[in-house]
Amino acid sequence: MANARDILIRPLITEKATALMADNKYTFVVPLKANKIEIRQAVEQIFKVKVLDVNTIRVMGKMKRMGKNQGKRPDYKKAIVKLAPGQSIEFFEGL
Amino acid sequence: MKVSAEKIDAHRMVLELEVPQPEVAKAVDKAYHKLAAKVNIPGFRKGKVPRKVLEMRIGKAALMDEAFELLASPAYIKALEEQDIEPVTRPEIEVVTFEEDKPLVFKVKFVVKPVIELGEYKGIKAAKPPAKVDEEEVNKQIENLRNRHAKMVVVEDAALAEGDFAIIDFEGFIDGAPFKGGEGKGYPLEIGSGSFIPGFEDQLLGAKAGEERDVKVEFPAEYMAPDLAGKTAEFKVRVNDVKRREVPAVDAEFVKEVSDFDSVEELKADIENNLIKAAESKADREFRTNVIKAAVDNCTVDLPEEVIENEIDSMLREMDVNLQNRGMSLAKYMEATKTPIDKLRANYRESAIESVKTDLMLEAIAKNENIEVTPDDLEKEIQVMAAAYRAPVEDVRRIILTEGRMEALTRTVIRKKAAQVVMDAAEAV
Repeated sequence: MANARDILIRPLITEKATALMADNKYTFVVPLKANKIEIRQAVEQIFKVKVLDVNTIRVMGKMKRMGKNQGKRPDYKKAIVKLAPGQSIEFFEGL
Repeated sequence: MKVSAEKIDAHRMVLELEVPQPEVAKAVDKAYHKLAAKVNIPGFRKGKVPRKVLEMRIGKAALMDEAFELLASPAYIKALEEQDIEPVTRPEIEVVTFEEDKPLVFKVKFVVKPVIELGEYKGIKAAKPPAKVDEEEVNKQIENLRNRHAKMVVVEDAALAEGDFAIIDFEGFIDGAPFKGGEGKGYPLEIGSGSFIPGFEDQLLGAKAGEERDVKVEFPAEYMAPDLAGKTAEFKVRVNDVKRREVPAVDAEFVKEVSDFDSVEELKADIENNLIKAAESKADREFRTNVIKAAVDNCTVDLPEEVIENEIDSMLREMDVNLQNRGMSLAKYMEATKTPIDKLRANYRESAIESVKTDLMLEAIAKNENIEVTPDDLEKEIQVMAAAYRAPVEDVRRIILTEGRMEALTRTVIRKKAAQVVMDAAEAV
């Protein structure tokens, strides 16, 4: 994972993620194989901010079935990044 | 709120409205909540989406449009009330400035309700056609009754004459050979009705019951059966019976048969009464039309083109509905009568002007005379409507209430009352 832009797939914009922004925590979807160190470096490099903490969660895709066909939605990894006080990330600029 | 009014020409007007900034911000916020509750955005429950995300999803314009609706309509209505203006067309709206942090400025353009100058509307003299019934009309009615109760009677030993029915057997031959459809038995033929080939009926004149005659006729060149057209045929005809219409005499017996009365005089009096009633109500209607028309003629009003066009529109719509009730449509009607739409509109123009003027006048009179509508009046009107549509009173009331037709109804009642004022003071000449 050489490129920082390959680490941060997209920001995760949901009700919960929006609520976390009040704590200066920003949420991203990242590759399953990305580790916390890579994520910290990617965020610091792209947004020019200081990262205090990174928490990651592996989200398992839901099992779905259409009749007899079974399927599985893809798994993904969520990274919640806590920034230093006073710093912020303007989302939606398109990663 | 600042309002400045300006007249463009005799009928049109522009209002410039300014809504202060705090209200704009409030409206935008309200619009955001309204939209947020409606749109489904993944990751958020309904109504929980932050404004920024919402704007990204549906666009800022949609949000501002919604806010404009919330702001402009009440402002417009309030401005009309303050300035005491009544528009008769939908307003054309032009936005001057509309931003969240600035006061909203917009212009509305519309046609103002024309002012009518009332002329003399009391003591109008108008022609009232006389409601007279003469002897002749009564007799005509009785004659009709007699004809309706006429009976066919076999007349012994009578010669066939015009108007008689001959019961005939006939057999036709062309060149000595019978042909298809050329025979019949016991057929009642009215002499002079022209239901057979020309010449056939004439040749039976004077025949008596039991007589046999040979009838020679030539089929017309354009007969409906082509193989018979233009050919000469011979018919052997036997007259079985001669029947004649017998009209009952006007006597007590006839009276009892056709009515509940006992004597001819009573029947005549009743017929006369009915005729007089019909003539009177017709005369009343005519008088009413004349009076209202005279009152309208006394008024002066300058009607804007838009109002006339609107009225024509609504007349055509009404016509369309009427036609559709009979399984037609306006489009089909125009095709059938070969009237293009502009000609149809031109035809309706005259009556549209008349009807707009009448309405304006009646409203003005109502204002002038301080005519008020009481709940009782409305109730009465609802009952009249219910009777006209043969529907339960409650149903009619509910429909009027739920469809917001109460205002229209009130106006109808006001006009009726105003018309009554004019009628009460009118004089028949």
